[in-house]
Amino acid sequence: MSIECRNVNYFYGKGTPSEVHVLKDINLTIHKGEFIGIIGHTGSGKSTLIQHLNGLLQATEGEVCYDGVNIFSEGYDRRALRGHVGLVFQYPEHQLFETDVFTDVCFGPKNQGLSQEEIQQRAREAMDMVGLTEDYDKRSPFELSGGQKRRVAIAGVLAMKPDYLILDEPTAGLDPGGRDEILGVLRKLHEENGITVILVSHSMEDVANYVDRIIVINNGEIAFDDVPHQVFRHYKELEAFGLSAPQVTYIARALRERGLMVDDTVTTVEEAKKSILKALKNKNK
Amino acid sequence: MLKDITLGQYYPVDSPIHRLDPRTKLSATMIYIVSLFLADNLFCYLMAILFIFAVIHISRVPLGYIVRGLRPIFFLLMISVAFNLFLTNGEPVYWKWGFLQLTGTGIRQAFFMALRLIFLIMGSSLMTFTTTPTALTDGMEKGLRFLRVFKVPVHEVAMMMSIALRFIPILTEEADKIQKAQMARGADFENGNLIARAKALIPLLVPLFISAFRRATDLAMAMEARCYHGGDGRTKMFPLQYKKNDHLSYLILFGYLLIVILLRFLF
Repeated sequence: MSIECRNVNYFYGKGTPSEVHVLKDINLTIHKGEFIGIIGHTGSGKSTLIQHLNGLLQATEGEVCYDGVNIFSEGYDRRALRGHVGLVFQYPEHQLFETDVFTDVCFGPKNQGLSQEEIQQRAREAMDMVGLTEDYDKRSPFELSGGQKRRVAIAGVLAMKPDYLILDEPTAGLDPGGRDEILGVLRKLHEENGITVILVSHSMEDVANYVDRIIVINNGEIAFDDVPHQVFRHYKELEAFGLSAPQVTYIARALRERGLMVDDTVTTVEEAKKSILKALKNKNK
Repeated sequence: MLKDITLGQYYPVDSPIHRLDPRTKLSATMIYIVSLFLADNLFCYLMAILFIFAVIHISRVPLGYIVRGLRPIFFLLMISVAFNLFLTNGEPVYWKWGFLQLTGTGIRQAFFMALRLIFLIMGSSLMTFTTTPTALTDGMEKGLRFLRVFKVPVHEVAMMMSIALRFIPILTEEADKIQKAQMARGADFENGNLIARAKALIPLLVPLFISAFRRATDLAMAMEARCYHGGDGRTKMFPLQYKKNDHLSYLILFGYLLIVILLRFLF
């Protein structure tokens, strides 16, 4: 069970004066059960890449395979694929259109051609997953707060029961409270519901705290693909890409430079705390 | 998709035509259209064709790109050719069936009509290929300023036009994004009968309208924050000014128009 990109190349406006080579020889395998972060500077091609994974864009060269089958092979049902690979776009609240929240969440399963009963059951489940109670059912999606709207939009995709959930900058434009709320929901979906989550972000903190694999895209190419510790070790290169390591990593490095022997590959505040306490203990001995 | 329409899209290269004052290009288009309607024999058309190809050559816009822009009007072209071909009275009659007939006059008229339409579109799209929308509205604002005497709100109209033009790519992109987002939720825009397809547009149109209103409010706010108060007393960073090439262009244009008129009355 996997999604696989094989030598994927993608051009915008091929054959016009504004031709851009957006993706260059992308080779990538996403296994079921992973929690992946894709990071890259604005315009690095990360949003283009994820649109290949559910067949919204077709690679100019190369192929994308779902469970080993090329999704652009003759007669492949890409609409069914989109039920397996759920994609939540940036600012997903901009796609809400129904008169009430519940009907909007029903849109996805309705398109899958399920029975009325199952549609409603799935919508209910999806809303529970993102923490929206029945009180929200009959409210207009347009009168909710930004974070609530976004949860409705995510529920709209979850109601299709995807095996993979891809989210493009799910925390963009939210306050810290709303951000933690959304990321908490994602962690729960991964841990409790076994959904493979792919998180596109440019916030290193978000990514370091939650994911177990990071893919760094720079200029349409995969620069790094590894566990967070290993990736943030390359903080110099990351900075050259217009990215950075989490702030605690910098603090750990600064401490080490001043003679406190902390582990300078820490990426979360929790790890840093442990490492600093340990180093202090050793120092006092 | 929507992005593939080349008709009227600015083609970014540097050429003497691109550098001309937008007012010159606006007048040139007007003069060219007038010349097409004056033309009534083969020589006039040859002159018009020669002229436009010369300008296209100087503008460095590939001919293929311009021809591709003609595709959307192909259907319209076919209809008008068909009407002229089969509904024109005249001599000699080659074929007749009910009210439909094929005559020599009809064939001639259909042929010239097709030429006229094609070059009309080519001429006016060449203007938009070589002029940015901003320059175009600037040119219109300045060129039509004299209408203010008749209480025509020239500046406001020009501002509305430039905002509308500016929002076309933004809303196209937005529509594309919303369409993809709904497709990711299993929406189907391609299959089904007419009613099903029209209904499928609701999830696209509602968010698009909401977003247009949101953008309009944001823009109004941003304009007010920068103290926009209409055109009175507003100066430009790059005021439009005719240069040597513009004067030369006007000379060539009037020369061309004169030749077309002469050709019309000589033959």
